[in-house]
Amino acid sequence: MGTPKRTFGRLGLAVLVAALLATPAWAQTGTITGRVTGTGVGGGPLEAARLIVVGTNITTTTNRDGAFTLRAVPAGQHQVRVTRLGFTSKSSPVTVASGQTATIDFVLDPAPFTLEEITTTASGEQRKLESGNTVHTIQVNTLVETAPVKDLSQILLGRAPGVQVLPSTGTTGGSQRIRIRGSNSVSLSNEPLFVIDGVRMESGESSISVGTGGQSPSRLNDINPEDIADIQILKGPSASVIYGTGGSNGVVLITTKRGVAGRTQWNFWGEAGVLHDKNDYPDNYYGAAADGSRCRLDDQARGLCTVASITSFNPLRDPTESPIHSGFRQQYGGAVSGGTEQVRYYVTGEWEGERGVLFMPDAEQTRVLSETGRSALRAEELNPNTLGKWSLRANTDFNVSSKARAGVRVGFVTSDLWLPQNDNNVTGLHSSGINGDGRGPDAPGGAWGFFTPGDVFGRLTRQKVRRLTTSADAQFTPTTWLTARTTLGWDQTERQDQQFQRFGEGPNFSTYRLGYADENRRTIDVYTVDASATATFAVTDAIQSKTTGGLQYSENSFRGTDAHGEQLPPGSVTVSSGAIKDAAETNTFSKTAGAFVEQQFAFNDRFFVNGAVRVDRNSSAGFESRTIIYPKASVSYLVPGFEAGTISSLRLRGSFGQAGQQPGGTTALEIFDPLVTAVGAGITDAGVVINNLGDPTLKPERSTEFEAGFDATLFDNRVSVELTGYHKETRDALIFVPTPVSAGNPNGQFRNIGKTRNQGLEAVISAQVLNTESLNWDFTFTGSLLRNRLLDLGGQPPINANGTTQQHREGLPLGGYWARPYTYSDANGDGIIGRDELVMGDSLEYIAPSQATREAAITMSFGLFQNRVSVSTTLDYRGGFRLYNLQEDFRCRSSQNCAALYDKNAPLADQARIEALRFQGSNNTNTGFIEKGDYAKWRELSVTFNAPQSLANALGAARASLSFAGRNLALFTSYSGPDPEVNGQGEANFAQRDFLSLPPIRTMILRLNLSY
Amino acid sequence: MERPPARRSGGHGRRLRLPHRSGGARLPAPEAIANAAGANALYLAAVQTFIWALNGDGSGGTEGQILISGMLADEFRHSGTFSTRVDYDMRASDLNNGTLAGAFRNLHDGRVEAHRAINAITALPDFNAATDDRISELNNAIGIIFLTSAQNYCNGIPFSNYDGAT
Repeated sequence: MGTPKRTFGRLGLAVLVAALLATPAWAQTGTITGRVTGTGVGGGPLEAARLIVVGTNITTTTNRDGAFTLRAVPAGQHQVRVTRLGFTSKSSPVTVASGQTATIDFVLDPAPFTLEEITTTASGEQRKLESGNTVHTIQVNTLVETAPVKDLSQILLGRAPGVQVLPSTGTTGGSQRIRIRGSNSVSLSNEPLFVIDGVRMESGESSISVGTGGQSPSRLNDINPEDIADIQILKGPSASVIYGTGGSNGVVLITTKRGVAGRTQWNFWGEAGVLHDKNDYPDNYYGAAADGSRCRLDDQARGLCTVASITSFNPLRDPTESPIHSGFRQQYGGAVSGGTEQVRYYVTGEWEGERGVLFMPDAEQTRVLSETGRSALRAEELNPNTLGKWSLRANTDFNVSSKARAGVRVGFVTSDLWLPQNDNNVTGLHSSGINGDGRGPDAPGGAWGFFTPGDVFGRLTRQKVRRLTTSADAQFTPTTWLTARTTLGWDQTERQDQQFQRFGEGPNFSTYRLGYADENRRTIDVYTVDASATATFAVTDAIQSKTTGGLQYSENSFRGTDAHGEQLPPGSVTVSSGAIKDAAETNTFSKTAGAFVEQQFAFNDRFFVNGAVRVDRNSSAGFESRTIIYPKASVSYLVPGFEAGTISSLRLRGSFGQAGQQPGGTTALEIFDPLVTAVGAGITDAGVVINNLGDPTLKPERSTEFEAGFDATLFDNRVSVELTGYHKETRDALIFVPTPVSAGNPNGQFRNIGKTRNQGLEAVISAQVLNTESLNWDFTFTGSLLRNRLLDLGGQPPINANGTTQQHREGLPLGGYWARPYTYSDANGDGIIGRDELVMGDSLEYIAPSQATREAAITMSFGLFQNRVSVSTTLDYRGGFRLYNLQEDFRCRSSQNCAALYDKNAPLADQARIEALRFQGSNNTNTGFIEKGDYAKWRELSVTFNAPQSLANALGAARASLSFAGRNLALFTSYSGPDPEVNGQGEANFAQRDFLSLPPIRTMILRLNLSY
Repeated sequence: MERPPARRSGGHGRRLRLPHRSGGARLPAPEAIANAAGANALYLAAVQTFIWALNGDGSGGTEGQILISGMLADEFRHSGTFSTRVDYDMRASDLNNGTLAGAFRNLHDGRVEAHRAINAITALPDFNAATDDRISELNNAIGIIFLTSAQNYCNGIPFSNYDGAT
């Protein structure tokens, strides 16, 4: 292997020479036209079906009437193949005469699964059949019209096996973690790479620079689901090697909608819905002796007092006190698409507004107005959690000639989000509601633990975002066997984070009531340049060769400034008005250039062998070696003899691949930080202090994945089964090794010392149970098993992932739970577990994984009365893990308001876990609060009425539908907290605990779709 | 209740930073400070780190040893997190408690940065031990740190040096 520069040069020269040599073959060509229609309920003319002249790179798609034209087809005999998602593929022979037009029509039957489905990656288009990997596709364009999904994470949740979407909150604008095939990086991000229309995009999970306690927005959710046509998921290095460094956590490929040639089509939609917080928040308790003093069961067991009365109160559910009310969301948009064969367009715009479930109670409004002497409250105080968002998109595709096409895609989003304080936060709402006094408003300090809602809502957080994601792509097919592609893209996010508390308002904590303001600006740019070429040859009649070579360049730039002012004058919220001001700046940059070559041989269009190599070079400074090579190989075999009979088709597949992940651009360098030094009264000078120890031997961590499985269709393609097993190992895993506290700063250093492994099984079963004119019934099951292990920590002692409660230890899952075991028995039979009725273990022991090891989802869809009414519902399950219920731990330990602290009727296990938590001295342990987290959720239900043509016409529309949909409809779990899906740590890499968060909430929406 | 979120993010809230750029070669690298001006910058930072170790940040966000000794003597009461209060009451410095472990780390940081500055200054070609009073000042700081360690912590605590070599 030469240097990347030389390799790129040779590849480019080869492509150019090949194109020039092939020019004479253009002379004798003809045209193929025809129409594609479908049978069954979804039948009629099929738009956006893809046609290819087999053995060449000549392709096209059908227009809105199902018509197509394939131009510049060499004269002679050809096979034309048509594919469309949801239908069987077909091939037909056709003879093309020079200068003539041949006609061929196709009629496709519905099918839930097809191996002819097209995957588009950085190396071009590929049929599912040709790939040795499983690639999961989610058709989004029809989904958003009916399903209750408001962001990208809700599209992904439960729809792809092995893809874990971990929502952490019901906060409007809140975020989630997304993990594909588990977490395998100890110290770096485990988030997949997101690519939209071929352009790498910013998808930060925790994208805010001011504190809200735990929950923060994700840039992923800037993307409007209405804009998305489909999502394809490459699950690991065996599939994502072409993406090189950055592809080790999997790649999510998002394709936005395109215009379809034909008549102009207008679509309008309007949606309105309510948000209900149906979470079962625990009551706050107070146990009292006869004289009213606090008396706990433990005190009673020791003969210190007797619990004479227990009172309880729940400020989050009390009709007078509670700030939790119904929220509201609405969404209105329109899209126009159409064009000619030469120019096609898709333009859309949408406004989305959501008011979360928090609202300042009437009594608090009166109090705040009275205390501050104001006549009216500000809107953001009344509703501290709101979102307003505009999304605009214009996609245009051009057929420049019969051999060249191009596209320009522009997406723009602007949003304004207000976030409440919550989670691990003394000024948070739930922290005060859940840690309140059981005596309610009559308690000496009132019903709220720390601050009342009126004060909590006086500490305000706002994030404004303007984001432009734009790309241009072009494809040139100079000959029938060569296609060249290029994509240029730029994704820019401008973010403004604000937080302020006015003088004399809000929670009286620390110096906050003196007033403070944060004004932080961020500009995040991601640039992408891709160029590749694919050459297709017939080596023999039976063997086809496809060679793809390409170059990729990506650049990430993060620029930020922070400004902080405090001790503000009354009424001011500007940084500049602060008596004390502070500023900081953060800038990071990284660039990666890569080249790849991929070779495929197809034998009788039945056996496919793929090999690829990707070479990466990155800009990270200080690395001794900055070039890294990632290989890949895969096979796919369509087993003959199954065309008829119970098994309609059977494909076996297997693949191997590597990808990597690198730390930040200066991680390998020894660098210093400026430090302002006071050298006299009011006089400062600039010093420097060590910032990073560096390590020139660092290199990207490298993940190697093996994957094998099969795809089978049964019963005349009405049932499909996909089963995949994988084994993924990450070597040279970068571990942030803590330095000894007694050595001063910095507090750690990255080293390539770790090794992790993820193994798992994934299954998808889809079936068309019934497909009649009066009733059709589709069924889909997705499921996965995951086993994660930290194999090697390089001789380092265990690393804490969330205090000592979660640890990275060799031989066990990353971030697993650890605690001291104990046993208990009511030895004296008094119905109370006393502190001497526990036997404590000697040391911490491993309890369970903190991440789900089992996932499943079942989706059933029904079409009734010739699909006049369609119903779809999804139930999902997550299990094999535990969740630390720190919320109840904290209530029992510090707030002393949990039921089992006072109530003799509380289960002995609940009493024992408190005794173990509080009254065992240095052996105190939170073991009993690390609870089984398994749950099932009735996630989605949608009922759609497709209006009869006459009714749609009466509305002046060609098509009309009305959908009623609900999300988070029911929860089934033995977990004792409100919802085991929550994470008070927000989007932390491993830390997982339930702590004072607003859990996911129920959403009910009504949506009208009109097409003209 | 744990500590409320820091008002500022990015790890820069702990110290007042000069506006700077932190990408590529925009931060000072070792070669940028291998001169008289760089050695003096290390000296200035070492003095400030020593002040931090003893006085904290002055706003209550990070305790220094003077405040800590007052809390250990029950002269003051910590207003932050419950777990920190418990640790103070137990006279136990849990390494998993960022507040107490941070103060302990800052104490050692003052010592390590002083040694770093001494090494840089004494390596200068025109270094003159007889006239450069920065060395004695830094050694004085190291001495105070040792004495403070003896006063506020149990015997047997480690004093480490780690230069990042793996």
